This record gives sequence, C-alpha cells and structure tokens, in this order.
Amino acid sequence: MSGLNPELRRNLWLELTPHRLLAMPLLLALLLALVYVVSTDKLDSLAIAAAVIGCGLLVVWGPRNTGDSVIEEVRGRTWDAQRMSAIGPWAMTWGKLLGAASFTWYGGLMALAVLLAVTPRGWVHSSIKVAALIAVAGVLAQGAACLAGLSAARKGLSQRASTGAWLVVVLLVLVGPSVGFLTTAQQPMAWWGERYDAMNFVLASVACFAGWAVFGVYRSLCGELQVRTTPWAFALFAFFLTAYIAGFWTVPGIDLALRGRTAFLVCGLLVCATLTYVELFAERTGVIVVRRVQVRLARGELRRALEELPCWTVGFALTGLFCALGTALLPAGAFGGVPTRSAALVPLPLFLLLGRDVCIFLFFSFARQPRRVEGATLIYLAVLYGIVPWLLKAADLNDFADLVLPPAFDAPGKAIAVAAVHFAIAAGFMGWRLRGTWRAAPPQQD
Amino acid sequence: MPGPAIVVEGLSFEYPGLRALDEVSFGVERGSVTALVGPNGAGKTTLLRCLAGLDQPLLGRVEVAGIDVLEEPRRAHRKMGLLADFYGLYDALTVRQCLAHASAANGVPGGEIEATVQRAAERLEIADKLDARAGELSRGQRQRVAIGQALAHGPEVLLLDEPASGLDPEARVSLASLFKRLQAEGVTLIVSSHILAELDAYATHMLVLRAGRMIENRAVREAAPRLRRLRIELAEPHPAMRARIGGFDGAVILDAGERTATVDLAGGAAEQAGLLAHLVAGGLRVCGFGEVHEDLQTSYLRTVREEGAAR
Repeated sequence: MSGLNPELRRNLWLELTPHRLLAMPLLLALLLALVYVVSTDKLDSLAIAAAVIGCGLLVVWGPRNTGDSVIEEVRGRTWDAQRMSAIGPWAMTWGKLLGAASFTWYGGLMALAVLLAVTPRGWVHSSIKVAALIAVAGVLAQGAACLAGLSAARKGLSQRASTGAWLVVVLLVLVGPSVGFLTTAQQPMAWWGERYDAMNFVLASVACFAGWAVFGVYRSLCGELQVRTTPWAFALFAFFLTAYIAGFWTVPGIDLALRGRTAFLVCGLLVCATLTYVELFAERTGVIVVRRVQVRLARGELRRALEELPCWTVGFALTGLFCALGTALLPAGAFGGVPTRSAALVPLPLFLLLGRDVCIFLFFSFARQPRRVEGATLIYLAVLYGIVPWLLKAADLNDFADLVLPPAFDAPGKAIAVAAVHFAIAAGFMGWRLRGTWRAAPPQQD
Repeated sequence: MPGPAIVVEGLSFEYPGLRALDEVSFGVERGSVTALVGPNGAGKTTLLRCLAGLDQPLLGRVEVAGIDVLEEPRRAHRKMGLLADFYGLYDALTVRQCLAHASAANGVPGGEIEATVQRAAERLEIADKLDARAGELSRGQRQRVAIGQALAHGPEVLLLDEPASGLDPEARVSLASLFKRLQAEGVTLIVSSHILAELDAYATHMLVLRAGRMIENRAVREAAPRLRRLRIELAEPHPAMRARIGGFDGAVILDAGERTATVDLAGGAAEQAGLLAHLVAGGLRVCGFGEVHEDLQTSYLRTVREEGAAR
C-alpha cells in the first residue's frame, strides 16, 4: 500500500480494521436473512431492505463520517500538520471522501450488490438505476457533509458541534422521500421545454450535483492547503444552479423564448441572493478579511485581492447584476400578480433588503471580538422579516408593517423607498463599526 | 555559500483591533538554535505560524531556506517542520503508522518510508514503541513521536512552540540533548518557550519579542566560539597577575586585580589550556579557571531592562 494516497491509506487504517471487515458482511447477512425469513414476497422485500441499508450506509452514515473527518482533525490538533503536508488538494479530497466513508462504502456496495442480484419484479425502474442513484446520492451527501465540516472547522465551530449530525437529518428529510417517490414515479419530467424520463433525469441531476459537491470540497481544501484560487468556480456554480432551476420554471401566457429569459433572470436573482446568504454564514468574514483585500488593492495586487475575496461578495455582485438585468428586461407578469408597469421594479427592493441583511451580519462580524455573529444576525432577521410585521398586521397597522417589511411584490415603488432607508441605516451602522475597529489597536502592553 | 535559513522582513499580523506582529524583521543563521522568548501575548506563536505559512500575515515577507513562504507555501513546507504547542497524534494508529503517514504525506517516496520510520524511531529513541498505539504513550513519548513526524521529510528548519511544556525533568534533559544532536546534524531550530533555563542548555541565539515587536536578536552562544570569556582566580594574591595575563597572545583583560581577573581569550580549548599553562609556569597558583556564561535568563532580563530604559 506504499504507493497509495497517504490520506486514503491513513483513513483505511482507521476505518477498515480486521474486526470491522468481518463484522459488516456478517451483520448484513443477518439483517437480510431476517427480512427474507419474515417477509412473504421474499425477493422484493430483500431488494427493498438492501436499498434501505445501502441508503442508510451511504447517504446517512457516510456523510456523518466525511462531515466529521476535518472536524476530528481540528479537535485532535492534527490538521495543521495535514495543512503543511505535501498532499495536494485533489489527493486530500479523495483521501478524505473515500477514506472517511470507506467502511460505509464497503457495506453499502455489498448491499447494492444484493439489490442488483435479486432484481425485484415489482419496481418501475431497473434496480441498476436505483443502485446507481443511491451511490451518486451517497457521493453528493458525503461531499456536502465534508463541505459543511470544512466550513465549521474554518469558522472555529469544531469544538461546539458535529455538522454531520444535523446534515444527516436534513438529508433524511429531503433524500429519503425522493428516493421512495422515484422507485414508483412514471411521469416524465419537463425541463427547459423538453420531457425526460423521471428516473434518468434525477439520476443525471444527482450525479451533476455530486460532481459539484466533490469539486466544492476540492476548492475548499485548496484554501486550507494554501493553494490560491480566485472565486470563479462559485460564479460558475451560481450560473449552473440558476440554469438548472430556471429549467423548471413555467410562466403561462408568454412565448417560450421570453419565458426562458424571464425564468433565468428571476431564478438568477433568487439563487444568487440565496447563495449570498449561505456563503455569508458559511465563510469566515470579519474586519481582517476587509483589511487584507484593502491592502492588496492599495498595492495594486488585483489578483491577490480577488484571491482574498470571500465568495459571498461574488454572490452579492451577481445578485446586483441580475437585479440590473431584471429591472431592464423583466416583462409584465414575471412575478404573477404584480402590476404590469411595476414588475421590473421588484428586483430592486429585494436587492436592497439583501444589502441590508449583509450589513447587519457585517456589523456583528466587524466587532473587535466578534461572538455569536450568526445567531445575532438570525435573531435580527427573524424580527425584521417575521415577528414585528406579523405583530403590526395583527394589530391592523398594515402601513406600519410595510415600513418594516417592504411590500416588494404588492407595491414595488414604495418598497424601493423603504428598503433604501433600511439599507442606508444598516450600512451606516456597519460603517461606524468598521471605522471603530479599522485602525488596529496598538500592540498589547504586558 | 548558502544564505540564512530564515529571513523575515516587515512582518505584520493583525487580529481584529490588535496588531499582533508589528513590522518584525530578522534573520536566522543556518545551523543555529534560536530561543524565541517574550511574555505571554508577545506574538511568539503567531510568528511561528506565519513562518510555517499556516497564517497569512497582513504585510511583510518570510523566506525559509531561500523560498518565499507567502508566495510558495507548499514548496516551503518541504523545507520545514513544525511542532505546535498543542501537537496532535492519531491516537488510534500505531507509532509506526503515525511515522509512516507523516513520511508519505510529506513526500517521502514509497520505497523509503520503512527505512525513514526506522531511522526516526532510532533517532528519537522510540524504536521499542513502534507497534504501540499513540494513545497509549506517555506525554514525553508522544512528544518524541510528534517531533519524529515533523522531522520525517528531513527538513532544514524545525519550528517548535513550547516543546518542553508538561514534560518531566528527565524528558526535558533528553529533549535538550535531542536538539543538540539536530543542531549538530545541521538543522536550524527556532524554539519558543517560557522556560529560559531549559533553552539555556542549547540555544545559540535569542530573539526577544515584546508586544508584537522584535526588541533583540543576537547570538548568546556561538556554534564555534571565536572568543571565550574566562574567570581566573588565584589561591593567593600575586602582583604580576595582570602582566602575566597581558603577556599571553590573544588575551584581552576586562578586569584584573591581584587575585581575580576576567579575560576575553581568542581561540578555543587549546588556547585556553595554553593560557593556564602560561600562568602556572609564571608561578601563579591558579585555583579557579573557567569559562563564564551569561545565562539566557540574565541575558533576557537585561535586554528587557535595556529596552525599557531606552523607551
């Protein structure tokens, strides 16, 4: 094994102990034998049990392991040595993903082999496709969990929580029913005006997103292993996601070409805004990040400044781009009930509100000793988007409620004015906080 | 002739609202052992992490073994090893696996890993522990394994942050002898520690940080000393003492009475023996004749005092 990827080999030493290698097939055999004995439709039950076990191992247990793979290293104080090692980002990506989940792949592939061997009769889709779907869903879930773990480690959350745990719950809720639905779904899926076999489409989609998840882990590890990158991949993913979601968008009453453009603009705005929020909360952001970018720009090092730029700034800029394009190009009816003349104005208050929320987050993260930035921001957002407007509306004070939550869809013009005031206030507070922390305090005197 | 092992120029590092390193510049000679000293919060760990390329400074340049750490951190890592203050081991792996992983991860070719592991184990006196799990080792043994991991790829520079913290006296002595051996092999060491007495056993240079600024970087003991400071004491006073010492080639009297003298002598042990023979031949009854060291603690306190007075 001396020529093996060192990270993969280390994980194999830890995960594939002789005891575990022996225990997994025995346990699987016992479980499947139990199902076979107690069920009436023997082969179909065996196939379902194998699919469920495969899913459990690859989509639930595997992500827990990959999610914790970096967090455990940070906790165990071994991560710095890994960061200084000669292992490249690709080797580290595969070493972590395949290695940390090697035991679950060992069991999962055995379960999928049983699924393929028994070839159930009652299923709409071939067992090969179901097995392939479980496998690629496993890669997607494991990649996503590893990304979440890397993000938690970078934000210093490794001592507090295991990201794998909550992610597993989310995946169970989202992936579980989808897989169940797919084994019976027969209706073709419409996407960008074309119809596709549902199973093939979902399989291709999950495989695509699995590829993105693995690529995301690679890019994240580039940062950890001091391989400099500019945020082009994030922009590319934003466009991919926009195009993917826009493919499902249907707006009745408009010809196909216009519908495609409208869908792309509306989805681009919403996707980029969502990704901005996700990255804002996932990345390490603070006054030092701003300071680094400022120093690079001041020295004319544009590429280095781009390398220092957090991804959320790219998401924010793309949201601005889609806002501008939307304001210029969106047709009447793009937002359903919004009056014809006002439809093009809808993106602007949405962008201003995003800007306000970013400023609120930065206000907390620009503190000299930032603490619980994410929690504090979430509370403020809950107050602004939910609690106060709801209370005011309950008290029949709708005009006041509109001042707290601008009616972007009902009255875009009014919403622009209100959102602009919100943004100006939040930006003012953020600027005030930034100026206070900007000049580094003199070095500590002991 | 190879340049310095480490060159640091204008290094600044900031935490929110705090400049942890403020335009720090210094050079470190190859084959030296530099004691990195300073009070808590002086920026020692931050400096070591910047040298290791683990943290990116705001400004400045760091060069290790001729490689720009900020421009080519991964290439620079091939030339250095780091033992952090809270080093970690994979507790479930055996010592052999830990060392093999560190070797492979640091680019040692597959065919050489076993030999590298064996060599590291013998060098660190843990050969009998190769098949023990890292989690079962004592703190001193764990630390040796961690140093073995940091040295696996044969780095030219080794950075150590509080290496003796938590070790018993026996383990500390053993650690000091290890550092001396590494220095003899040509490895450049930077050792951060609070325990100045321990550093005194092996440090050749002292780099003092205070409040993020470097206030001193000088040799405390040369690897091959060119000048020895000697203290001479006679059993009974002799009026010709000063003249007799002054007549020896290479001796410079710093102070001398009829019974005691302090002398700087150019050269090594042979010259020192020569001076002793010269004094005895002159009828001086020498009862004390030895080299005088200013220990690191005294040196550090004097530096801090002088820096305080200069402010």
